[in-house]
Amino acid sequence: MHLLMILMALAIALGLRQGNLNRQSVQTPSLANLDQRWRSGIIALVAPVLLLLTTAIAVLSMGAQGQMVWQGTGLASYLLSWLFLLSTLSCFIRQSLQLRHAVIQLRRYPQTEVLGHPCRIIDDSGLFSAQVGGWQPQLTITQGLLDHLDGDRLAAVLAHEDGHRVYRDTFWFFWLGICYRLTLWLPHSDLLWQDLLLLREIRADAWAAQQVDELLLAESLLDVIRAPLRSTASFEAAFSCTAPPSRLEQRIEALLCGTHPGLNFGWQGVLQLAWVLLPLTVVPFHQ
Amino acid sequence: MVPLPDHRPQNLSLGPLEAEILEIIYDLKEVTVKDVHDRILADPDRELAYASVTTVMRRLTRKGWLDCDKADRAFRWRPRISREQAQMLKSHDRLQRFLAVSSPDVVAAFADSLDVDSLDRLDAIAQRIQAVRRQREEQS
Repeated sequence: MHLLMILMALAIALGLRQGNLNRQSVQTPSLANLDQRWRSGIIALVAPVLLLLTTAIAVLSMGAQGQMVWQGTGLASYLLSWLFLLSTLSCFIRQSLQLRHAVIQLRRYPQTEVLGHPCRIIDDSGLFSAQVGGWQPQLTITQGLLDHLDGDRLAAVLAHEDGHRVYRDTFWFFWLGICYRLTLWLPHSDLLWQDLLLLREIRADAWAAQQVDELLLAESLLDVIRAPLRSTASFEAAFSCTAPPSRLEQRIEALLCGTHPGLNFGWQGVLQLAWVLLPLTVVPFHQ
Repeated sequence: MVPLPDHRPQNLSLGPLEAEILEIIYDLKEVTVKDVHDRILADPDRELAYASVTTVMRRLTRKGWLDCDKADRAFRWRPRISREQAQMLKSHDRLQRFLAVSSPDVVAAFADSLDVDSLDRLDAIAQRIQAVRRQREEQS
């Protein structure tokens, strides 16, 4: 019975990824319905993890009442549940340590203010700026970027980074990243993850476009991408010449079309996720 | 801002004696082993064999930090990159290492490797932006 619950959860997780994700919409992206794309992407990434977690918790809490734990399928379901819980825990610990490592690394760089934004300056000629951290990320900029961009373009970049801070992107993507890593064995994990990362950037671009000229922001983005120093090892990307528009093209297109998505997951999204708690409802009825 | 040098030492990490000898070479611009040895022994509390200095300078040459010329039966050593360039390389290396272990979950960058595109596409995007700018200027 318990093993059946786990198998059902796995089947639902698989079905959710296969069915709920309209692959066409990801492979031929359009700027229409970004809010819908954002919400369904998060649900498709997060729901399988939550469903498997609640199923594992339900199985373990029922098994702990001494029912056939040490016989055949009972033992298998018990072990599978523990395996998933421990995988989740180890993934969480690994990501937390990585986050802590990144924040500690940043503390070595001097803190200052640029155009009214508190930030850390990395003494490097490469062009890089990012929000790094969790709930309260730190703005990090290389000296190279400060030297390379004039005041207006720099303000555009900082406005984009401010968008990441306002939406707490680093915090939410810390959790989404854990869900992504836990479901690498499910179909479309990578597609979903990349799409959410792109939407996150489009949202930060849109936030910036409310404060600075979107054309200036588009030019800054292209300028930073084209700078010769970006061809360093960690920025090497596999170029694909396939038909779908690249991530950069989509970001620029969204800016030039004046797309200003708020990308709000909201209570509507939370309600759409509520069904993942169903496995827990069988626990009280367990004899 | 110092640009990154074309040449890059194979190994940027230096031991304490290597770093000390490299500093002396930066100060003196061009040295023989004797110059370095004399400079270290100028401190009465220090002891260091001549052969040890030779070994370290050969190691620095092997790592790509120094050039060695033989002139007038004496080996003369020069730094291959300036002190500032070395500092820049170390910073750059730190940043690259930081980026290599950082994932996009907790690093929300303005532009990262996912935004890099082929040159053809970059040109097309640039033209698109220019077209919009021209259109805007015509309207105003």
